[in-house]
Amino acid sequence: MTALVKLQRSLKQLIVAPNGVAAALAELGEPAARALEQSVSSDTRSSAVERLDVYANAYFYRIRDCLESDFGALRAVLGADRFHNLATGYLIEFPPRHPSLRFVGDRIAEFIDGHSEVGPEWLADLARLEWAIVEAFDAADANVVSRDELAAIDPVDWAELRFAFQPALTRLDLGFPVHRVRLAWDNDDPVATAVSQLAALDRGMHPMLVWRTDERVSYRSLDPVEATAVDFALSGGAFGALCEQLASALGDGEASNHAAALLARWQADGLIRGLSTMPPTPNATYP
Amino acid sequence: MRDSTPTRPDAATSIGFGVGLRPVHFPVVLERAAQRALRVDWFEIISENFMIPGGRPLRILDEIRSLVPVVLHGVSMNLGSSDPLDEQYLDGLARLAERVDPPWLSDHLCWTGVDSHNLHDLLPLPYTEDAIRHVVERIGRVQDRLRRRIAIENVSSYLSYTSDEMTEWEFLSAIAERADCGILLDVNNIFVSAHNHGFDAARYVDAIPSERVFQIHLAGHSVQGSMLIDTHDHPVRAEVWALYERAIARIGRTATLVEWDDQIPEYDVLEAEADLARKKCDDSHSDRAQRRSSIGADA
Repeated sequence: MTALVKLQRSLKQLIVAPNGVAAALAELGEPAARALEQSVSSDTRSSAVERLDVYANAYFYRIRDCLESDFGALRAVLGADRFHNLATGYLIEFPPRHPSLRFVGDRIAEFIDGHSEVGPEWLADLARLEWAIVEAFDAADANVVSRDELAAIDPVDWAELRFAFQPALTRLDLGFPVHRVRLAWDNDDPVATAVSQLAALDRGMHPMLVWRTDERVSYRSLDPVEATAVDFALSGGAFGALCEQLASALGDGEASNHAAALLARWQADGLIRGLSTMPPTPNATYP
Repeated sequence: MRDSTPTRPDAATSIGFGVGLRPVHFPVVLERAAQRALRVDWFEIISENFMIPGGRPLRILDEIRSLVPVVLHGVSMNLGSSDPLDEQYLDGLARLAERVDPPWLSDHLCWTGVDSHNLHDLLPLPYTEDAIRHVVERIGRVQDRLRRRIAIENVSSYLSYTSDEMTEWEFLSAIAERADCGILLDVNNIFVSAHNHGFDAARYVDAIPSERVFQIHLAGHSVQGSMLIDTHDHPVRAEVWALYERAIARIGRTATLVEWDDQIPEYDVLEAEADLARKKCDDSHSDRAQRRSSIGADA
């Protein structure tokens, strides 16, 4: 091992230590701690430990602040101290791997899933929703299909019509309607009412969509029929088969009107970026 | 592809004065740009914030880039790390550079993580011959990959190593010379590190090879106990302005940029700081011209 690797690994170990540099050195014990401390210069202005502490504090607080910014509703629910503890535990288990701070919160829902002590069962769902919102913000751009383009489809093509959805769309299956908490936070309302409503609920099926239209990120819950329809269309299912699927759920009379209404909404929400009458292939491209 | 010409790119002397572009200022910058009422000549962006697939930041970047030059300034190249260079990161940076076509791009002379654990901070290297060889080789590979010369920035530091074999300015100069790259001279960082380590900031400025300085950074800092911290949350301090005057008197007119990243004020405050840099540069060079002409008259 070269001197540079050894030095950088040693410093990293001290900087990320959850209880501070002095505690980490104490844990190391002599003579390792003394050798490490002696690799950093001390002077009358500051000791080696104080100098290392500048980096240790910056590491934690920079990342905690970034997490607070990405998970605003989660931060509002937990309060400052519990969010601080969440960030501490998260960084130990999932240290940042990506060069950009933008990705630092990518596994926080997974962390909460594995740590029931963080809070109620629905917190991980709230983290999943908030991360999907972060992802939608800077996902790839796409032109979306207009109402006129949809109206211009030849009637004979409708049965085989397939849809490509825009890249900034995420379909979530959540166990709790946590969007109510995020909505309160987005509206600058206290989250307490939404939190108390969630506390009274058991885990259920709460499908969600998160997407971006131009520069605006949106999210909404889906009823079970729309969730099934979205999943079918996302997997490349044709409109004719979608109508048949709806008919088995709603009856023949309702199916085609419901399918048309869903399609109109998807178009109005800016979810559809392409139309094709060909079955999807792995490298399919849409106009 | 290395350019062996040691002189600075033309833009280093002609591009003028800029500020760091931050999302909170997007609306006012777009409005001023549309009215052709920008008082700055160029912007600098944090590269990583724009190495993304799409959305508003890239749209605004394209719009601003269509009006004024934009320089890419990265924080995660991890030039000094013992980890391998992150090829995926360099691919993303190359794509952004193709999109923006900046006069140059820059990152820091530091390490930001090891064993794939990113500390998201700019940690100093030991000033040793081994570290010089390590960084020079990596800058060479980055410049080959990006097909551009880069500029490396001196960081603010809060620790130094007992293994140091030379001063920071000797370390920085040696790397820039051997790697044939530029220097982004951050005079606030020099001031902060000089205080924290007890060296002479003026001596640092006087020792830097002028022909390598592509750009100068200015920023504010904070006092934290016995240390100065490079917080980018204050106006440029008087002592740093004095150091800037010393730098431009020696180096000549140089692309200068004001950074402000925390407690970000109204955009006009940043433009006023850039105006002040421009005035100091103009004053410095009119003084020099006057001195030259009076020497000529005496002769």
